[in-house]
Amino acid sequence: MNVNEIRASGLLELYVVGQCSLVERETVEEALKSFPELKNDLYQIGAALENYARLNSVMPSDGLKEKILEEVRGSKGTPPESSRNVENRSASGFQWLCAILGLAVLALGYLLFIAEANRTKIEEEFDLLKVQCDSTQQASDLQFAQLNKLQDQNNEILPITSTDKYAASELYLIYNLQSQQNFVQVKSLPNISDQQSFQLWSLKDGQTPIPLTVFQGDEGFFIPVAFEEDTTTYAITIEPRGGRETPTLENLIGTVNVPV
Amino acid sequence: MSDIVTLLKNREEKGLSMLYDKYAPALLGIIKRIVKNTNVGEEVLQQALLKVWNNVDSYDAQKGNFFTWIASIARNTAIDQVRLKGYQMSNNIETLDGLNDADVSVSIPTDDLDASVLLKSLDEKYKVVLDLIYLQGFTQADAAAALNIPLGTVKTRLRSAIQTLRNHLKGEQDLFIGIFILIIFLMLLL
Repeated sequence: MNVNEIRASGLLELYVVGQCSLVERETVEEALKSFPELKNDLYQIGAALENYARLNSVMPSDGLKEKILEEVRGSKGTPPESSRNVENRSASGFQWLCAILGLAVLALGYLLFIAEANRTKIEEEFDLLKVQCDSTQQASDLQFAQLNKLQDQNNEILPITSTDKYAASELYLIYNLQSQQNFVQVKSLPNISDQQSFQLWSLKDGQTPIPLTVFQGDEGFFIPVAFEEDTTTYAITIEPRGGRETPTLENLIGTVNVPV
Repeated sequence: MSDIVTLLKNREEKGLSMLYDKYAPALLGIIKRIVKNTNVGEEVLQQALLKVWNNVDSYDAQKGNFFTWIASIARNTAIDQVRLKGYQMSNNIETLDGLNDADVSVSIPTDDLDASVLLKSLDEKYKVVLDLIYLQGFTQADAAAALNIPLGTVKTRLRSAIQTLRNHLKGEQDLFIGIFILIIFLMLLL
């Protein structure tokens, strides 16, 4: 038979509703192999009958579905309801455990965060203190070095003679010809503005004054003074901030002669 | 449907659940036509669905629709049940006069297809043959005897009934395709 003869024979319909004889069934299945397009006919017949069956639907009673599913669970070796309740309780317990663990993880995370923040803060404080300590150590070393220099047996402590204008000033020159390291010891200085500085000068016979150390007066009690060979007199004046190349004589605080 | 078959073949309970939701009413409609009793019908439905569950690997999509296969299982299970209880198929012929008889609570899914149009389009003499053979599992010979018509007439009427159903389904599909094309066309216009 060709395709059209198969379609017209009614065998496809009988095949779908399961009413074919063995011979008819073999005929249809052979035709399906020869004419694959007949599968679409089978599909359409099946779909049409499915629609018709739906027209005649009867709703099952409530609970039948669960009954069937229960039987399948039983056949699969699913534990009975009581066991499943236990499982549900276990599942519930597991969920609680998960929730508690989750909270514990959150709490631990929070604590770690706080600890990390504290550690960072402490590290910052430590670094700051370390800097301060280093700075203090440096200052201490400097002062210690200065103290050693001040204790040098070759030092000569020479009072700086104040001018009448700055008579209240009290200064000393610590002079050391061997080490060539001098200091000015400050006991009392006149007040100056922010725009002014103190400046030391080296005076040599027949020469113009040589500018030396400039300071603000708040550096400490001992101000290092640059050593200048052949200086006969050291002088200190008040100059514009940062110092000048030539001294302002009307602001002369005092002078001191040194041994040659 | 292929999802359901795949799930069933993978022995996943969800597949059986989906199978039930989609097909149980239609299958129970077939079963109840044969066993004539709601409680028995539901027992048979349960047996049939378990057979589907246990034998789904033997379903061959090349040989027909999935529903055709499960409907066959439901019909044969119901017939076996009737035979087991000593019923004679011929004893139930009187119910042919009322295919929507009171003991069968028919629920027509009107959202799936226009049921009234389909039923009106199906000639009563075709519908009786279709119901006997497809819904009640009569053989062609039993149907011929029950209706007192020649076997050839049963075959012809069965084919005509199914052809009518196919035409109706095709009409629905054509209408759906037409609406779809119209919507696409309107969207393109906008």
